[in-house]
Parts: sequence; C-alpha cells; structure tokens
Amino acid sequence: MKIKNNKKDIAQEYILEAKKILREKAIRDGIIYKHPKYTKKAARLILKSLLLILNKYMKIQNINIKDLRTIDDYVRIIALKNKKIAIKTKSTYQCLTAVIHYGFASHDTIKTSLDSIKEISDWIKKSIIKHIK
Amino acid sequence: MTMKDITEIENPYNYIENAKKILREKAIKNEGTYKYPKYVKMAGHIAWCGVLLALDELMNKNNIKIRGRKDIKDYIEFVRKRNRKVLDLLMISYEKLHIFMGYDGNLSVHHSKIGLESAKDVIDWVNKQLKYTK
Repeated sequence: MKIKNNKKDIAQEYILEAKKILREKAIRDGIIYKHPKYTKKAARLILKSLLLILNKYMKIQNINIKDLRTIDDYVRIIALKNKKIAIKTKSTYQCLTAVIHYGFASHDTIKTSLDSIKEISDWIKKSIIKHIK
Repeated sequence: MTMKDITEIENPYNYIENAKKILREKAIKNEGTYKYPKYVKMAGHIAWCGVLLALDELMNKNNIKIRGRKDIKDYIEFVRKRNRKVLDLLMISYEKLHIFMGYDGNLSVHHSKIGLESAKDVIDWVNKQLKYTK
C-alpha cells in the first residue's frame, strides 16, 4: 500500500514540475508557448505521469506491464471497463507525443491534456477503491 | 464547368463547411468524442486544405513566389511578417487540424472544434486582406 502511495506522489510531482517548467521556462506568449525546448520537456513529464497512472491501473487488474507494448494495449484494457476514458487516454497520449516531437504546443492543448489526466486519474482512483472493497 | 463553378468549389469556406459536415454526419459525435478516426482524419485534411488555399491566394496577390514546393515554414514566415495574432491562429490550425486530426485521427471533439474555429478565423483574416489589396 505504501508503494502505491509513493507512486501516486511521483505522478503528481511530475505534473507539478511540468506546470512549473511551463510557467517559468516555456513561457506563454498569447495562446502558444514560446520555447520549444521547455515545452517538450514539460510534455515529457506529463506523459510520464500519465503512464505511471495507467501502470497503476494495470497493476490492480493483475496485468503484467511488460506485456503491454503500445498505447493501444493499454487502451484496449481500459475500454473493457470505460470506453470514454479509453478514448481520452489515447487522445491525450497522441497530443503529448505530438508536442514532444514538434516542440510546439498551444496553451489549450496542454490544459486539455492536464484536465484529461486528472479525469483518468480520478476514474482510476475510483476503480482502486472498488477493487479494495 | 464554368469559371463561376470553379470559384465556387475553390472557396475556402466550403472546405470548412465540408469538414464540419463530415464530422457531423460520418465521424458521429458521442459524449465529447467522435466514433470513427477515418472520418476525423478526412475532415482534418479538408479543413487544413481550406486554410492553405486561402493563404495561397493571398500569397499570389502579394506576388510572393516560392522556389520549388511550398512548406509550412513558408506559410508561417509569410503570416509572421503580417500579423502575429493570425500566426498564433495558423499554428493552432496546423496543430489541431493537420497534426492531431489529419495525422493521428484524434477523436476529441474539443480539438476539432478549436481547430475549425481558428481555421475560420485565419480565412476571415485572409478575406479582409484580399479586399484591402484590391
């Protein structure tokens, strides 16, 4: 149980660090971020956070993470329980990988990704509570 | 086909309308997401073509000639010199329509909506510029 809590904290820490980088280094210029280098860095942290959260869900489903090769494998498993969350997961993953590749992101893209991650995380939390009960 | 028919087809607004129609009728909306990535990709490509068509027209009016094939960087450079706010809108259209929708077939309704809105804003700006250059 203690390990699970630590992992949750790491995911949250990644998000906080990404937000700090976006605010202080990537710097918002109108509706887009100015510096691609830092935008990429922040997107990488957000993606790491998303993957940590997903891995946590896979653990409670007794699925070996090493068997999951692509995001579609994760999405397929989530879709068995919640299709909307599964689509959101894939959409967020696609957005973040695009930002990491191109280094360009609008404020809206980052905000939507963070909101989706929060929604996914909340749903996973609920699943864990159900699982424990 | 008359000259009038050609100009009617090549209206950038028609591209946006067609993209919206494909999203509405074929991609099928359901609780903030679309059902079929194939049609999202199609709509993204069409709307992005509309933006490029409008910008091409404006570039021609301004006698801008690019050697070889045009690149997104050429369009960005062209808009950057004229209006920074429109440059932001162009970049958002590029991100949402071309990359998220066109390449990835991203099923998020939110991204499609923002992409189409900014594409329309870019075309509106081009329209104003074209009137001004006349």
